[in-house]
Amino acid sequence: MFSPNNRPKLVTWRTLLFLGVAAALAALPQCTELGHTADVLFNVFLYVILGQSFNIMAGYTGLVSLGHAALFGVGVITGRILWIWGVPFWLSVLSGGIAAALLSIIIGVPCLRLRGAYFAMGTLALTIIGSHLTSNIFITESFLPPAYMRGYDLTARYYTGLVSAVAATLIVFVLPKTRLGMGMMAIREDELAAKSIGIGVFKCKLMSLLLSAFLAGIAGGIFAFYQVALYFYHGFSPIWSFEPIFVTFIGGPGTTFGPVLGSFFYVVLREIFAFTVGQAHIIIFGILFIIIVLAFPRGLHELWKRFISLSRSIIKGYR
Amino acid sequence: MFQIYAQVIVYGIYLGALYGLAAVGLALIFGVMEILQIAHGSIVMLGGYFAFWLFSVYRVDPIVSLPIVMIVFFLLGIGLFKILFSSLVDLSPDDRVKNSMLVAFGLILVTDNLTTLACTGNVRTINPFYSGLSCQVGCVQIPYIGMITVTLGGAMIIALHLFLRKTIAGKVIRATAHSAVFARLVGINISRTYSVAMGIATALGAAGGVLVCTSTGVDPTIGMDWTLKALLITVLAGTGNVGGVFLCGLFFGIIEAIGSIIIGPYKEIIGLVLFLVVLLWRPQGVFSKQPA
Repeated sequence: MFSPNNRPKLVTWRTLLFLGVAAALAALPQCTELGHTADVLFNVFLYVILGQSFNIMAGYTGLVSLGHAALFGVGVITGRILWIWGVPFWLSVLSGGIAAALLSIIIGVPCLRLRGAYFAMGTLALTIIGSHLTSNIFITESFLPPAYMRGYDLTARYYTGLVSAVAATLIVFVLPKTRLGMGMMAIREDELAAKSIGIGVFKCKLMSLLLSAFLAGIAGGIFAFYQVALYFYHGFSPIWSFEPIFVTFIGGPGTTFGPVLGSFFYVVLREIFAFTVGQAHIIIFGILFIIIVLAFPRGLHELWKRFISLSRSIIKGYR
Repeated sequence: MFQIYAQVIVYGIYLGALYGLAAVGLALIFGVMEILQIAHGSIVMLGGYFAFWLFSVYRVDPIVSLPIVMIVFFLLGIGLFKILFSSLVDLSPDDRVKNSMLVAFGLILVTDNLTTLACTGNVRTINPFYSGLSCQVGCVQIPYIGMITVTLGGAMIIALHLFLRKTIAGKVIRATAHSAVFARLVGINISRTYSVAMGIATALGAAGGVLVCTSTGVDPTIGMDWTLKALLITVLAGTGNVGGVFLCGLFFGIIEAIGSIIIGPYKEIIGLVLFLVVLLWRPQGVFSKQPA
């Protein structure tokens, strides 16, 4: 894909724009009182992490999984229990990620033998099994202890989310330039050809699954850190498998900033519709979503590309 | 003890016929045009609601309303294909599966929430005069509605099988499923074939919904459960064989029913574990003839 004398530029307008937005978001709580906006932005960060996690598998390795809810759910449970036990929050979030990575090895070894739509079904089945198990084991709702409630501070959640989202995006930014990432993309393009030039297909897939699971688990840990009260099985709800798919495919799979674009679009639009049209907002959102998928089959990222090439041709025209 | 098991198996067959009916539509759509119509469960739900309103407003018996619902949903299916899915047909198979899934998810959001707004979230059931009645056969009670469900479901599957095997229109659908390119080469109108297949599948799903409405009832959130069940059964059976899908549905229903005695709240897990084992052993489906 990249020949040595045609290396991709490391710093592009997109990268600068992303860093600028990240810096602005980091400065925002210092300047003004955010209120509800902080909640909305926290959700954006959560979806960025989940979207990037899904992007590593679906966008770069070509493995469309419907099982992200299981990874997220394990992250939620581990993170929540450890945090309530008194482990520092960053450690509990991290161990959420590690627990999800461990689970992904158990899932991965049987499921990675399946291909295409069957991989999606297999992961979906495992997620539903996990959902039934957890909803039978953890019946009660988890509330924060009073000491934690007094110390609850949304800004801390905001920054945890922001830092993790930027880190996840950086991982996806660096990944395609590494040996592993190139192997993954080769598998996405043609698995047989990749195998024949000596790429360890199973190893690459497993690494991609591990990385993806780790990020999804981190997202789960952060969610557990954010919620005041939650049911442990909530993280296993299929909606947590579908929303990363939305975010990634709205933005553009297999691109660094696609999921970021998709998350902003998804969360902010959902919020706006919820305020303006009330109960009917999901219906309008559904219709709009269908229109976007039909109009931009490769994601909104395409729109950005068209915009860039259009503006380039205009600039050239003026010269 | 034997009596309990026999009784539970009767109910399993009853439930399985509903599963099979819901799954056949999904399998037809996936097999013919490689579109993953995950809103199929919502079609089941809508069919149930349609029959419910026909029954509660005009007092139409569910057996009579079944053909009416099927005709309406046949047309609805054609409309769905023309509006939503026809532009996806030209994409590569991978993109087609993914994008059809996304479009269908948008459709789920619309249908489920529209139903909640229009009909509230209450569970709706149809209770004709014969509901709750049953007859004694040997040591088990067989509910009349269960008998009607299994008979009608089986009849519809046999009719679909004969349609696909014996008529020109059915052969056209099978040829298109085999290879759309070659079908086009011999002069088959692909777009029309796809819309007819989608129409039939949607009608079957809605018929399943009518029968669901006479047993456990429908509410706006059941769509996802039925889609998941239908997906699992479709994968277990493979897409090539209509009868196989229905049999697989029956099998799934029986397994779940027996599981509910043995391990209670974990009964859904038996089916799923079985599904995973079969998937690993034969990824192309149990009844599918193509090699792995």
